[in-house]
Amino acid sequence: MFLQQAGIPDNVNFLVLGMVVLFVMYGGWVASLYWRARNLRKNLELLNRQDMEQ
Amino acid sequence: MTMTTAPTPTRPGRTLTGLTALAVLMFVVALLMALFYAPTDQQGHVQRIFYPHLGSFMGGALAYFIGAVASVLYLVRRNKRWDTLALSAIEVGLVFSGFNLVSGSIWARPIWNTWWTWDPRLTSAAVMWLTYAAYMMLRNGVENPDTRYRFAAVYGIVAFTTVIFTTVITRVRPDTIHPVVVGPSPQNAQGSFEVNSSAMTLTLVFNIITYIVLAVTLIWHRVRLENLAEYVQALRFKVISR
Repeated sequence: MFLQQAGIPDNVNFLVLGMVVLFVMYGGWVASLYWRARNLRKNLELLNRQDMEQ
Repeated sequence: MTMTTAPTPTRPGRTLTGLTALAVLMFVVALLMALFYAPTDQQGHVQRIFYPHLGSFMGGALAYFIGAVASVLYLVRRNKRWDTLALSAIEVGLVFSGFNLVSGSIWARPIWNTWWTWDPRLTSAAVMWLTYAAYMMLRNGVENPDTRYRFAAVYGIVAFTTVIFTTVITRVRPDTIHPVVVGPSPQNAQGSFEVNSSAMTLTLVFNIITYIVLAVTLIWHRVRLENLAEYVQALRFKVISR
């Protein structure tokens, strides 16, 4: 409201959208990195066990 | 013949742990500066997207540059480690330039009254992103590892021309409507604003440095993941072949 009185458009909703996209894109990729590493470590543990048994 | 010995996976060292902590801290501070420290421009609050928008472009361009240099080094040395670095850098670059594209579109909606227009700068940025997305597809489409690494290296070098083109296009095409903040904007630029206060300059510089640190940190983590994947693959062959 104060911004509009000063002649500045109120478009904060687009800023909020931008911040959501920022966290979704960067956070999503970092989460995928963590997920891939977690699955690989599980596989590694299983393979190490099989390797020891053989 | 390519060297294919996968490094043994280890826990992150002190340098990477410290760099990760620094990158997270800088990311939070950069975001707070963009949202609360930088003054409100005549465009309204949406102008604050500009700080992570430009930071992401710089981080992405650096990642693609690392990808191109690593590709050259792979062709010279034929060492798998350079291919791993190129792949990691380009994947990180895709995230950064992807956000650059989407955030620009979000800014454009209230300022240009459209989500997208086939402006020279926007088109070249989209072509750049698609070119690197195709790099990932190319890798998955070639079965022989040595051929894959070689093709990917050549493609990684050629693809870098799109980064150069996207960077300089606002200087060579006066009909673009995309504003420029360093130096004079093109004559048709719409939604231009000036970085005319010390708070804006400090926020911009800090954001650029932050996204560069973030890109380097994420590339390093991605390299470690690729090394782990190779180690698991090698162990799998060892277990199966017995």
